[in-house]
Amino acid sequence: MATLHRVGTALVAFMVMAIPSAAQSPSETLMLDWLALVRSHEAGTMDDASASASELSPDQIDIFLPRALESIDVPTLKRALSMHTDIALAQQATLARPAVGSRTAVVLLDGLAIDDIPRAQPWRICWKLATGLATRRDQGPAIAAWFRATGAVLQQLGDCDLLAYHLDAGLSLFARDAVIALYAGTLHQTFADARVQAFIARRQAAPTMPSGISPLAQSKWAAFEQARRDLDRRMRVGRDAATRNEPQAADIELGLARDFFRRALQLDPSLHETRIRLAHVMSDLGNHEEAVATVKPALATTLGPFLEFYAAVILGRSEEHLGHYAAAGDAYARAAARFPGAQSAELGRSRIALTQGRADDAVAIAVGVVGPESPEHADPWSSYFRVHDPDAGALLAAWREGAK
Amino acid sequence: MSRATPTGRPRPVLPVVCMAAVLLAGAPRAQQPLFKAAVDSVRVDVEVRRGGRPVTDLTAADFQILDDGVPQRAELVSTTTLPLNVVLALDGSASLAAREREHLVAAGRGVVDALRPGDTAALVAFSDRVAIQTRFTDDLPRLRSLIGAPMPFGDTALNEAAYVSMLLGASATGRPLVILFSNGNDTASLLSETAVMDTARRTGAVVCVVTVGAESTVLPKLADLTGGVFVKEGSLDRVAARFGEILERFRQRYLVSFTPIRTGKAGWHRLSVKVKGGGEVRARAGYWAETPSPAR
Repeated sequence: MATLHRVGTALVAFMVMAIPSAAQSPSETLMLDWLALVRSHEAGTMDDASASASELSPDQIDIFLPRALESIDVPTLKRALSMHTDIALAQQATLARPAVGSRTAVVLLDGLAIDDIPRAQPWRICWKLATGLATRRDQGPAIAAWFRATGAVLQQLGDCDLLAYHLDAGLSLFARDAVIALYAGTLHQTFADARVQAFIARRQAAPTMPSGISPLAQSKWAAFEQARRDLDRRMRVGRDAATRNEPQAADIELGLARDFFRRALQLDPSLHETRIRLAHVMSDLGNHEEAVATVKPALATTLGPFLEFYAAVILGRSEEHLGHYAAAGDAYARAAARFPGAQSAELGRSRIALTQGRADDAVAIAVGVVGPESPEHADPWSSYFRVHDPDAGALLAAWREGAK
Repeated sequence: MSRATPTGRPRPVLPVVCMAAVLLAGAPRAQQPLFKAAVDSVRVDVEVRRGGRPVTDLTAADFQILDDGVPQRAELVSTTTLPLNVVLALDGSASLAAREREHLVAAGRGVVDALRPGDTAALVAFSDRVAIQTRFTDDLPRLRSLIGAPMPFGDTALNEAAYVSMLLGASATGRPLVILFSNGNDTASLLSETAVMDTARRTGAVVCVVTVGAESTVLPKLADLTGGVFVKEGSLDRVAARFGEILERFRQRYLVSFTPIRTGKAGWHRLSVKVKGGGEVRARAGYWAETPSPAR
């Protein structure tokens, strides 16, 4: 009887989950609909299930999510996380604009806000799912892997706004994850970059809305200003210090980046990307000796093409600052060998030729790479803040595989 | 005395500098780029103004030149017949609006229209990429056309553009002038500001800068170091006028030459240029000698 009773209970439970009854609350109905979509979703695609799920507002999902996180099994929750990640990525890729309740971020180019984008909400659901899952037994590593994979995606997209929230959530759960600390350092390094600093400076130079502009322009201006204030809050340490005439905001962001990189390196000394970025920050802070000492071990290992390029040009720049021109020339040449024709590395080589008294070579190298007849070559330097190795696609595919 | 340019157009050489160089180095130096002239004879473009007006009647004896504090004997090179080699470096980055770009194109073409027979110009356009659209040429229609061509579009590799422009200018065989326009700070270069300033010391090209918009950190220092001018304008429709003034004022400069005595070290030499009777004197802050010059 006891066995039968247990079987009977299980069956009843199954029936409740599968077939909504007239007695179900709206939230239960919503959750069951949602679960049906989760179970039919094919990971890595924007299929009918994920398209339907994307029509649920975050507020609707919030109604049942706490109960779902308590009661639903781990594999199903991981499928749910996978589906909502696909929704978030799809919305991000198409710059889909949710109708209401959105935050705004700005698109920066050359230190100038060129557009404002209402933020897609699905990431909020992802973070809640991930946070809930992380508390389940043995799920920490899988969820840390999710933060690493999706963090790489956001970094690759250059979405500092979402990445900042993403890393807040990730670090609160995995404070001792070297890769998440690496991303956090890279984010602060990006905030210190001239592209972001120039935007802030431009906005601060023109703090009031111009008169006589169209309603559309007023709306844009307000959105840009709101984004500037959001950024200010995010960079509050730098802003307060700047107000007190202390070191510039950029330097403080570099200091924060340095601290994250050091922590990441301590947690995982084999993470060579950390060495490269730490060296870059040290160079930007004027400590070229430490930059050289930090990046050299990375170059003594086997690196992917992008990391080798970055390590080499950063070494070259620091050696050049120290007046070690031969070493700098070797480093730039190594970078140029990885990406022939890359402007940054080739002009580095040209500079070294000039410092060594080989002015004709300096001109020839420069003209060879930026001259009228020279073809345009890719320069990895232009994507420095977006690159992570292994790349986002590989990390995401691996996570999806593990979530099946 | 003339020499054919790559485009076949004759242009005069620099007789005074030529003589000094031959005496010192035993080889013709008339149209050597600035790089190589540094050790044997040093040429300095000097602007002299009093009360805001150019002073045009000075002789060599009026110039007082100190090389690392050591007085030098100045020789004056006639300026009126010397052709200019202008490097026009134009910022095409994304922060420039379409209408602003039109003003910039007009300003660039204004410079081309103001060139005289014998002058040449090179064109450098930049955003996150630097592109030498043409090396020095006296083909004015081509220059005008290239200035109107689409520019690279993106962030601003200002440091790298300044570097390439100075290098290009100093490789010229005449009297180089870099006119650089940008509307902001560097946002894309690997090359540091330190490297840009060091390049300015080593190449000796005069860099005149016009900016609109954001405060620049490196450009005023660059103009000052090279003896150029730095102009910050409020609007791009004023840039054409500024370009024209820069070119005109550069033509009014004296080209002073001296052969360094008792200052034989290699490396950076600090220059001080003054004129008898006083006045506002603008000249580069020093020059770079690759090798120690012989004791004289």
